[in-house]
Amino acid sequence: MEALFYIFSVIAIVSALMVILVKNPLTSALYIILCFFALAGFYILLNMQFLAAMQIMVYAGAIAVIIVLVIMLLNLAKIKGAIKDFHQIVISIIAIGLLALEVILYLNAAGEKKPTGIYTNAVINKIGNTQIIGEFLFTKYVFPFEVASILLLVAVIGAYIFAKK
Amino acid sequence: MLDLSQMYSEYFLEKSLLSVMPEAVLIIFAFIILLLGLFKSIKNGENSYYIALIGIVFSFLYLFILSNHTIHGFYGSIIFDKFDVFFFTVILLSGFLTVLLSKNYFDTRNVLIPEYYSLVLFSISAMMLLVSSVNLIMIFLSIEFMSIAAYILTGYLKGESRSTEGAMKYFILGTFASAFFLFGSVFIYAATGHLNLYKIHNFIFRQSFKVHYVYNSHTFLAIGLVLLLVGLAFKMSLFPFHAWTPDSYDGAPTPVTNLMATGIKVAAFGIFIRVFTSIYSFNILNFYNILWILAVLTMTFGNFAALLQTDLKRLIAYSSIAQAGYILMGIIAGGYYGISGTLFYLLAYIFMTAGAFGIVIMFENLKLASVDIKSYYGFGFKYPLTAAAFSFFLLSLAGIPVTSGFMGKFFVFSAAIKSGYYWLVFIAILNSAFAAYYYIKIIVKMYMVDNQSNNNSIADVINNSNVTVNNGQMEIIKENHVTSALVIVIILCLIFTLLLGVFPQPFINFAAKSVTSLWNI
Amino acid sequence: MEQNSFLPILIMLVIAILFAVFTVVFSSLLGKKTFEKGKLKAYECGIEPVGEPHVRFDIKFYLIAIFFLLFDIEALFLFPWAVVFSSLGLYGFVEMFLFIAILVFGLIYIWKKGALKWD
Repeated sequence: MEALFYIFSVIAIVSALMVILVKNPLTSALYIILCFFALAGFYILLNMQFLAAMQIMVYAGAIAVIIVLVIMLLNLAKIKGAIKDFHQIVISIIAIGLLALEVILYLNAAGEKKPTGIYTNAVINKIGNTQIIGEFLFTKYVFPFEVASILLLVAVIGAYIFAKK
Repeated sequence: MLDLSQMYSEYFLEKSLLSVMPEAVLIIFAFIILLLGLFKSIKNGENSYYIALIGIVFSFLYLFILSNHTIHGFYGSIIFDKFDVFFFTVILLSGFLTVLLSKNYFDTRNVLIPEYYSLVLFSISAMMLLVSSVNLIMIFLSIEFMSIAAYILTGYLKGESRSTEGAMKYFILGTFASAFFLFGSVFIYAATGHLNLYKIHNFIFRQSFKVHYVYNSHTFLAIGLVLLLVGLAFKMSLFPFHAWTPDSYDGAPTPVTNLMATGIKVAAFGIFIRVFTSIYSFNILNFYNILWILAVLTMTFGNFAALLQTDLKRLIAYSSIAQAGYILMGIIAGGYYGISGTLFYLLAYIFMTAGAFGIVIMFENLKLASVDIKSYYGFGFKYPLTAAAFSFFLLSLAGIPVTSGFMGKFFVFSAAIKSGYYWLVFIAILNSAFAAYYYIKIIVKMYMVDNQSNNNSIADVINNSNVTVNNGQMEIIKENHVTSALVIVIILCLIFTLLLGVFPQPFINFAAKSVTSLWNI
Repeated sequence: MEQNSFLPILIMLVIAILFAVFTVVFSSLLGKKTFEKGKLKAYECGIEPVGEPHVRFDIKFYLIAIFFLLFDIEALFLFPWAVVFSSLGLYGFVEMFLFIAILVFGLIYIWKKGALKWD
């Protein structure tokens, strides 16, 4: 399992780097799909099978299609090289610094004992991740679930309004 | 693993459904509008407007029927209490005024009418859901629901690039804010193991007595609270997170601007008060000081930026940022007085803002090239009633006595003094004096005739019309600039602005009564 | 549901990757290579190409993609539902019925509005 984690990590990091390093937008779109798959691998390692399926279906499936279509729609294939801006470099350094801080804080806290619920790894393995999500989604969180459908409907209407001639 | 038996009891379902009835009514009416919009045979622009109004009235009725109950619904994701009654009233009023303002505005523009009204209803219901949710997941979902509808409404004028630009900025920054909120929720969940606000409250309360408190989960909690604050501050458009406000307020269709400046802001403050009283009140990481600084920055920035504006819509956008600073003061003052003062201020705020936007729509109907402040010269003489109403709203925004704005500021400032925030009140009073300058500047301009005649000035348009009465453009102006719906909005806002300023007692009682439920869990 | 049950998927993935690498590498090793400028040009019936080969896509594609995404998310919710359906009974059925009904309404809406029509 440990080995798999490192393999997925290398794939995720390299593909994420390639997304911003390659010149052709379509190629970077393909790399982002690879990155999504690597993330799905992490989810499986973390016992979150449903999330992994979601990652592949929604991100590597639908979102990737949208990314590719938008690239073709905007005719971005012509753009050559990155835009170098001092502002962007400063902002990205700050963002990376904050992210690094978060990781340090997290690693610092990793050893501490934290409040845990009844759903430990062993329980999840026994019942199944999807089953537990289903039980919660359709009982305790049934209302957010129904609201989500209305939210999706509003998004459908919005897409129609914006893309209408 | 879960106990399902509770699910099957009819009592549970009935209770849960009752707790969201006012929102459900709005959603059903929004569906009816969409459905009727599908039939081409019905002339849909007209009827969807009336259906939207009826929907809001029905929602009011349900609110009235339920107003004496406190209902916990759907496993504690939703609560309906006195606090909600107040906020639902304010949000529904804001929605009602928005729908009234929309009628005339969209009739002259080539947009999809039924979808517009249904989206307005959807977003109002989302605002109400937001205020009544007590679970971080439900809060996030409501914020998203409300925002997605608002993004679409902001970009509703598809032909105009400013509208699209506003929608784009709002969407990108709004999505970032939502991500911050979600990330913050994750940290809070990691630290406490709960998503329900009251359970988080109890957890922190119990922890605060322990001597050997787990330091790192404290850090997690602090990070979570900061991120949560960023997400909510964006929706309240507090200073460093306000960047989207002027552009999207300016680009959006004016009735939508009204909805964003009143409804969405009120809902964001509503949920912020809920979250604040349950989690932030423990003063982890000195949150009171952070909010203090935010309030000062917000009001000062808003007022200074408003001074520089020449466009009326942008001016009101910046002034609404400044108002958010004052409203935040009441929350910082906290306690019974502070929060009830805040609620009163919010009620006063929606009427004066809606009134001012009503006048802005009137300006737009006069087809002035942009809503430039320069073009008010002589307005006061040609349209004395409109100008008087506008002056009154501006005076109320400035906080001059006899208006609701004054009473609101009075309650909030006195609560802050009672809690010992003398410097904050001092800065706020300086700010108000400063703000009064640019509000009164507009009023002075309206009652002044510009000698170096300006092409855009209303006085000129009117003078020309005296020569050629049958000019086609003038007919349009006469027909459109005042409509019954617009008059109703302005009269309603005038009445309430005056009433809240002169007889604030029943309203502050209403606010105070609703606040008590915040601590009675 | 242990991670071990994903082993066949992993093996299949590895075989697929190996196969892809194998075909690409070996065909490039075994095949004869010629480099010509003309090979890189777009083929337009043997005439010199005129204008850009990249054409701007119709917004329709984008619209369909967005609809696909939204209904994809809908479909995704069916998985956890299907797993616990038997224990939820009628209640779960009504929940899912409502969820799908709302989204089917969306489908009917875009259909009637002609957003799915191609010309």
